[in-house]
Amino acid sequence: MNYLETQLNKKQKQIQEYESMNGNLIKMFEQLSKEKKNDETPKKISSTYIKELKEYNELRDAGLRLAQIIADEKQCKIKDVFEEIGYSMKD
Amino acid sequence: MHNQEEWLDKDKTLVNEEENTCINHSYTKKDTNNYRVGKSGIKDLKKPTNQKEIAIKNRELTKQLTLLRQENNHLQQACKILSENKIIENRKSIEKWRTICEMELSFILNSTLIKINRMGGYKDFLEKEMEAKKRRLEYQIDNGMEDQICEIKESDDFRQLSEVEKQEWESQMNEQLKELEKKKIAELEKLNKVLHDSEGKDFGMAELCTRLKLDYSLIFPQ
Repeated sequence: MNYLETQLNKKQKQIQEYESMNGNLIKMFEQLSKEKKNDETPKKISSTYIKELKEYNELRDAGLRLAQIIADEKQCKIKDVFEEIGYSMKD
Repeated sequence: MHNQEEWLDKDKTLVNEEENTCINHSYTKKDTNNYRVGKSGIKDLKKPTNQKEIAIKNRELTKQLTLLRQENNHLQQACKILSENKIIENRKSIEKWRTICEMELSFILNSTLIKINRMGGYKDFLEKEMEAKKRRLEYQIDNGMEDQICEIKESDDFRQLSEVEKQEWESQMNEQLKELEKKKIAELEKLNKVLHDSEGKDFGMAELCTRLKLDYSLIFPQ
């Protein structure tokens, strides 16, 4: 058996493994979708989540930057600014 | 007996030769004529096509594997996101930080408006700001170039140049100065336009966001 044939067999085995994994994952996803009343595709769910995660990061960065501006103006700590607003710096 | 054997051997050789010519002929002419060749020839003929087929199959399997891997990744991610309620949790955090930003911006806007009013209003504030920008621009362009020219003129390398070369360099410098002057005028015109456009306008949240280099629509989505 030459190199290419060995590779071929290896890939065929991998495909079988991935296919069985795929089957299990699809079942799990369908069950979860039912539970959470979701009708989006897996790809759509992960892309929405990534997009919203980016939005969260941008807002958090902006919030911290603005808090720094206020803290500089008031000559206090950022923590004090958050306390005054009534929100925690941590999520 | 010996002669007969010799004759048989000769005959055998003759047959083999014929077979060999046939093999060579079919190999060079057509690979598909496998049925016309002897057993030993099949191996030699099938090898290249099999290798090619294996390579094609290998490529197909690689594509299939990549697709399966991608699909599995999406499924795994989606399952994790759904099971841990990540989207809902993230949306809560987004709302929290949006409110924080709104509150902070309101505070900054108020304090900025107080400062602007102290300066005599938005128009006066803009005029003073533009004047400062113009002065900075003029200083940067004029002084920067003058310093550079003086530095070069005082250097040993410049002194070693011939008169012709010095004149050539000076004409080049004059051209550069003209270019810079043009740039300066364009920049000043831009500043005047900003001042002209802002007439009758008030300092608002949108401008505050622009000045703070923040995306207004991110904090105040429509």
